[in-house]
Amino acid sequence: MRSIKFFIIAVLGLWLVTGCGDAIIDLEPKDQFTTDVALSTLEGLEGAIYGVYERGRNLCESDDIGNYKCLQTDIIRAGTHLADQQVLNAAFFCDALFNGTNSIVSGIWDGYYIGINRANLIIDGVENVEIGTSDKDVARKNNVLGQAYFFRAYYHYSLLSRFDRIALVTAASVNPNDPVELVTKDDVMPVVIEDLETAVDFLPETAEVNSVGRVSKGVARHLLAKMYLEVEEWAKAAETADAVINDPAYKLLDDLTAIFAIDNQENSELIFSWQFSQNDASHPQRVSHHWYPLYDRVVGVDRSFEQGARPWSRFQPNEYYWSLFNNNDKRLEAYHHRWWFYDSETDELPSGKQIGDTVKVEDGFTVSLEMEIGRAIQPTTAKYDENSDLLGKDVNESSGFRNIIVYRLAETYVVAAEGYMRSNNNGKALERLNALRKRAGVADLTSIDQNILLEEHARELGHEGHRFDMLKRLGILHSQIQANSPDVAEYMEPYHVSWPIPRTFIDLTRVEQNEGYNE
Amino acid sequence: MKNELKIRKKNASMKATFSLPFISFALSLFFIFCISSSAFADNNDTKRQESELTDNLNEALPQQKTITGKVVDEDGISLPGVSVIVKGSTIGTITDTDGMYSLNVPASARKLEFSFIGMLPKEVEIGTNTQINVTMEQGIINLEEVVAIGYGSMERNNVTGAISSIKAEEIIKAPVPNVVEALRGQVAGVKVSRTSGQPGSGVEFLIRGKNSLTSGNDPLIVIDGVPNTGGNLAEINTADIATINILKDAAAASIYGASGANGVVLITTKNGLSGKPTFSVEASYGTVDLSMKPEMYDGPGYFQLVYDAAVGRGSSKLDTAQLLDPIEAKNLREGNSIDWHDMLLEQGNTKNVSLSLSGGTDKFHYYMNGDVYMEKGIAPKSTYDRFSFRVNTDYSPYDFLTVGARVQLSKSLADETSLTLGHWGGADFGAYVSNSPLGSLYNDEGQMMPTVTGDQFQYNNLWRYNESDVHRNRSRVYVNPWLELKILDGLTYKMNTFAEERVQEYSLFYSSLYTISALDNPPSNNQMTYETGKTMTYLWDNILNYRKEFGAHSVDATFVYGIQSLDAYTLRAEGEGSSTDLLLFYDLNGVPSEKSQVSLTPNQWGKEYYVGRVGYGYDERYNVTLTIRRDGSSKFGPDNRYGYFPSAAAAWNMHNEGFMSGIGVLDVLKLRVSYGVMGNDNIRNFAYLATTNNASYVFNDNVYTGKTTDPNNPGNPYLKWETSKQLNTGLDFGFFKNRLNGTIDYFNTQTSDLLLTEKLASHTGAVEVISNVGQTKSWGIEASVNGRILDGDFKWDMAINWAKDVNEIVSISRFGTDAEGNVINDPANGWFVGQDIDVIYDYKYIGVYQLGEEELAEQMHGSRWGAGKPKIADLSGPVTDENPEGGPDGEISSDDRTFLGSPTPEWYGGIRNTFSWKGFELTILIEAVQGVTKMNGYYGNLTGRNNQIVVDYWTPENPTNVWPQPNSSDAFGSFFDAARIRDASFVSLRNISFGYSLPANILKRTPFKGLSFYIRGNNLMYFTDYTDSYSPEIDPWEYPITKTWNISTRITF
Repeated sequence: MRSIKFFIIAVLGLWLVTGCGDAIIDLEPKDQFTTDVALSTLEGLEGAIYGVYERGRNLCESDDIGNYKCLQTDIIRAGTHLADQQVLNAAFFCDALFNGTNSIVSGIWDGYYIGINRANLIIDGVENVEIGTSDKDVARKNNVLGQAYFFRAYYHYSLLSRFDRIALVTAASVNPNDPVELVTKDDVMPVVIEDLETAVDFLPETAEVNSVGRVSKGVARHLLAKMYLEVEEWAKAAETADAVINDPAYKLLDDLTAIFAIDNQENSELIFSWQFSQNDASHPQRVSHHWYPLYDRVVGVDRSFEQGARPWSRFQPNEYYWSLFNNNDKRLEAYHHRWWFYDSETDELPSGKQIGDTVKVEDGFTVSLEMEIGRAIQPTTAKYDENSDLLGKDVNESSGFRNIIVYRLAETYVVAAEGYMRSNNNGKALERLNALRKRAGVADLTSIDQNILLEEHARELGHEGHRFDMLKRLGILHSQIQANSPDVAEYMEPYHVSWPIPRTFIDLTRVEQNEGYNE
Repeated sequence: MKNELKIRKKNASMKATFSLPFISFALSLFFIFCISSSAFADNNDTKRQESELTDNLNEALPQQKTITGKVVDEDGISLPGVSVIVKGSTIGTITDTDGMYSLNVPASARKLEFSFIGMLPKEVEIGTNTQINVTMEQGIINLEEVVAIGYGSMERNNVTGAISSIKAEEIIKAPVPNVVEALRGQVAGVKVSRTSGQPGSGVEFLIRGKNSLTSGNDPLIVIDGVPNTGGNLAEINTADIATINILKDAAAASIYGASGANGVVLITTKNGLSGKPTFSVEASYGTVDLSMKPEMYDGPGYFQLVYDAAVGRGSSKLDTAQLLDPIEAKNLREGNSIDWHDMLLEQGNTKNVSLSLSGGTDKFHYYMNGDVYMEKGIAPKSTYDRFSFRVNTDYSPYDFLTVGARVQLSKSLADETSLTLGHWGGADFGAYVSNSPLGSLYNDEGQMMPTVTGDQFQYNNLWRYNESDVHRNRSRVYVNPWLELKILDGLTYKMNTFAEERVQEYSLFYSSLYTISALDNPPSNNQMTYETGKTMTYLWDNILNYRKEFGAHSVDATFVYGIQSLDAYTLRAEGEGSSTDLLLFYDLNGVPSEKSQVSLTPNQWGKEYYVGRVGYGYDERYNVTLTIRRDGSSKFGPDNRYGYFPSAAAAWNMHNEGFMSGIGVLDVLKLRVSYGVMGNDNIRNFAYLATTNNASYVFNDNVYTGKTTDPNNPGNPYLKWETSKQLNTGLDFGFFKNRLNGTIDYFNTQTSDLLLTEKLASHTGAVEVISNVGQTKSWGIEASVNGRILDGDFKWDMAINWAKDVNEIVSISRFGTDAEGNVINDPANGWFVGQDIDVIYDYKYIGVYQLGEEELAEQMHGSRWGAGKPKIADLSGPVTDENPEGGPDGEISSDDRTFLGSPTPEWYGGIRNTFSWKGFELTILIEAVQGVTKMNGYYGNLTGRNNQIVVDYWTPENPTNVWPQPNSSDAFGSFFDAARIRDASFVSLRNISFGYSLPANILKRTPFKGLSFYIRGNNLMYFTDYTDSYSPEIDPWEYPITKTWNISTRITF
């Protein structure tokens, strides 16, 4: 009996000694990677780059933020229903709610910093990844790195342009307890330019990249040329822009309507666009519908793709903008939606009107909503049109799937023109601008100065999101708005050209708010 | 390199998870072997077999001797059913109908313990006696009782912590299937509430109120030494439970370390006692009804409301045809009016049959119970059926070894179709309240309609019940084998192992006609979900205990090494748009692939722990207990994987001091003080790790995917459990031979390192992270008093418990203040520093603007306000130069919001009265919860769009101050919630139990050992001002709370 007792104790003792505690508590998630594991292979890095792209595109998915690059310029006015969107309305007018608590302000700030962090994870992480020495593997690595450097520059510059004082972040690991210093253009631009120069080295030739959604050498050079303008390296700007212009992958389209056509979203004039697709239906863009007046409230006009799909009437081009065009400028017709037609089978048409007749204010039509009659059919830009169901859009949906163009070759021509103009080579400068005018069917310019350049910039690139940066760089943003944009001029103070630092960021870091804002 | 490492680790954990079930399995086999080789013999011959067995054992253990005797009460009447146990062992028997017993005891046995309900327990030295006769004395509370504490047990006398006990007799008096619900109103400091009347649904309960903001405040439930890892407690048959002990203070609960901060409930299940087999059959039938019904407008009343709402809006369209839709107008004309409660709710019922067998020999004890519980709820298509089976046994082949096992099998089948009204959103009983009383279920052709009026939101409940199908089936199987080995005198080793498999199946189906709003609408896609979840839990505890008395000194030391792990998966498939409704969710296969989705969600955690506890007692006067637990948890990162949870407690039995001996009436006076640290690790797994999100992007219409950072989960390697430090002082007292006894406790808890989501500055690339940043504090008082008020033939016992607990948020952020020095609150979550965790922050509603007050209304609110509109207290305004104090500014703005109370009661408690006479017993339990403020979401918005609870609203002819004027566009502005804040205090008639048991002298002439009949009721009546609801405890739009009446009989033979 004693031996049984001994035996039991021995067996139990053995069990205890072979106890398995560590294996019980040292667990790893089964259904999820940790970030460091996810980024530990070349494939992982290539997958992670989508998270970097996605941050930029993400802003176009928001009704509030999607058009932020068009805000506060001299060529835009509020649509009839901008006030429905309180946050956007505040940012547009720079009213009392335009402060650090405005969600557009924090949305841009937070979104771009997540993008910067993701780019940094790739740039820092590439060292820890074992990569083969074959040309193919090296090319893959360089391609991912080049994209990461490009976006780090793009996001830093986009922040700088709006906020002027930003945190410059060039490492993935940031201790939240370290003090934060906000730096200005002088500290940021050298890093941005260096990142883009690195990106140009690493990225593949444009012709090798099968999509205007992918960053290539051409995309990086285009932004780099603009950045040289920022730091007043005029000759380098012109030279870099010309490198893009001379890239065989790019060519100005002769047919102006083909540039923005939704069945032609990959064309040789386009350099870079945020890509959307109904195959990724949970990520639609919410940009197009903001530009259309509420035409379908006109009695006798129904909502249709041809007439502009679902309209939200948040913005319209302003009087100053229209005044820049002369009537035979082909861009007037090609880049804009100016006329609406009676098409309703059910509504009663104004007397004497037939289906297919153009709607005119003097027709004496009525609108089924309280608004100034003329504003229901005010012309607007067609650069964001999604005027068919080709991409899977529903006519009643406010969102759609067309790509949002970020850079196109016409802008490169304008950048080159400015570079040459300011390096006192007016001949080359005029050559670049006249290339654009020629296809628009208007007479060549014979002289050039800043004003002429700005007007051509507006005519060619209006409402594409480049105006704020340019006016701000030249230090004339406030004065141009005061002169040409009466509805914003009333509210906008000089300090508004630097956007407010988000309140949550200030609460967490105790940095100082930009001048003029009290929240 | 990394991958290799991962694989190796995975192998190691496989080994661990396999070795646990292996141990459980091996022990079970060993155990079954022991049983089959000895115990279960032919029934006809039990006696012979038993004596044979005894003889065999006696041969093996020649030192045993037999003790016989008789037990009587103070009047010399023999007492049957008295338990006689060799102290410190499981060897024991029960006296027969003549009060006689006979027991084989080992030579090492020193004392016999005699215990019987209602009697003071008695210990007798065995010495050389072979006959021991005992006279037992009446007593109320048994201070010598053995109390379960974590990883062991202790005599009440030596307990230093705050532990409340409740016996099975009190639990079964409440006719409810969930043991926690049976605790309602019974224990000081334990607050239980039922928030849904759905059959089989869970209950909410708190011990000593709330401390945590996000990690839950659910107490840890430990069943036979095994911490419960989830699942519904309704699946534990209350009839199987012997005792419940509630560890309330840190001294008692810190032994459960990182999971003890919300208190611990220890449940011990029954086992048989030595003696002849006892069969017990219990059967009951009960009815279930709505416990409280709010008063709704009838047809004409509703029409009046619609009319008044149109007037309130200033509308000129006041014809019946303009105010009502055609169905409503017709019903109004014809005088039809529906009360949807009467129309749709029906009486539910409960049925319960339970058969148990228990008994044993000196060496072997067994308890078996098979039980069927069926409940049909008051709403159509809501049922809960539970089948459970349990075997608890133990066997001592040698006097130094006992092995045992507890096995439970249970299955529950629930029809939850009645919860589908909200469509995907779960329960929504709103239609019972909001549907028009002028609606119709059927059209003129007698066809059932999808909606009861032309309004698409006035959906027809019956239609939706018919067009949907939801079932939830659960099964759990567990084996809990254990072994106890006496190594040396006083030194015992106990191994407790456990393996459980829980499976839950959930199916949900909405037909293609579910959402249509009119009969001629085209069908939409049908929708279906099937989910199956499987959870496996393992536990292995090694408990070494040393207990010894050295003269006046006694030592009780325990050391535990244990591990527990959980491994679970949930597989969910959903889809929509199959070609037929007839196959229900089984047609998931027929769903187009692009309309279906499958997800697999794993869940796993593990714990490893070392526990040490040393108790020292001197002369039955002084007791000290020191406890420490080292907890290792997979939920935390390597830096914080292990934590230490110490506590210290001391008790002074003042009644054993010489100077107290003169005070004759005082039997017990005991002072307790304790301080300790407990944790709350109730957070999701792997929150400390930076995890990835799926990243997708499109090039040329092709979707590319990868993994990218998750800005909301950047990982926090410093993450750890919430820590509660608690001071407790208590006093236990007993007078008049304990006829009056009780306990008072005071506690004070500081909880720090609260797990909260902390915002991160975005330059870090993250948005927020879970961190240990907040603090709360709480304190409270608990008192309970038990007394036998009348004694003799007619007995009256009263037990009163009372508790108050107060909590306060101290901080909810790292910095405490923002950049401008303002305190950081979190209004979005309703958290305010210095306030109760659940405080209500809103406008103060003070009545209605009357005719003549239009000017004031307009000044306060602007031009839209006037007579008949809500009147709000002007309490403060923005701080300006003119108003530096931020005082009343003559305008109502968001600054006028204030703290209006909280759902945390000011005090709560219960009174239980038990009257007994001959074989009759009547128990009445009354529960009170006072000082509760809640927003009553059942009140309607006075727009006339829906029906609503009858209220006294303002019209020019009825200038009341209670509710504002109805208005079909908006009657309240931003003040709807403010106008609905009410006192939800209540007193409830919680349970009544009336029973009759045949007295012993009659039973003698029957084949029965006992025969009893009961009538029992639960949740019978509320006394409250909060009458406009189904209960003061429920929130919209849950399944209404019910009351139950139940008759049952219990036969033992």
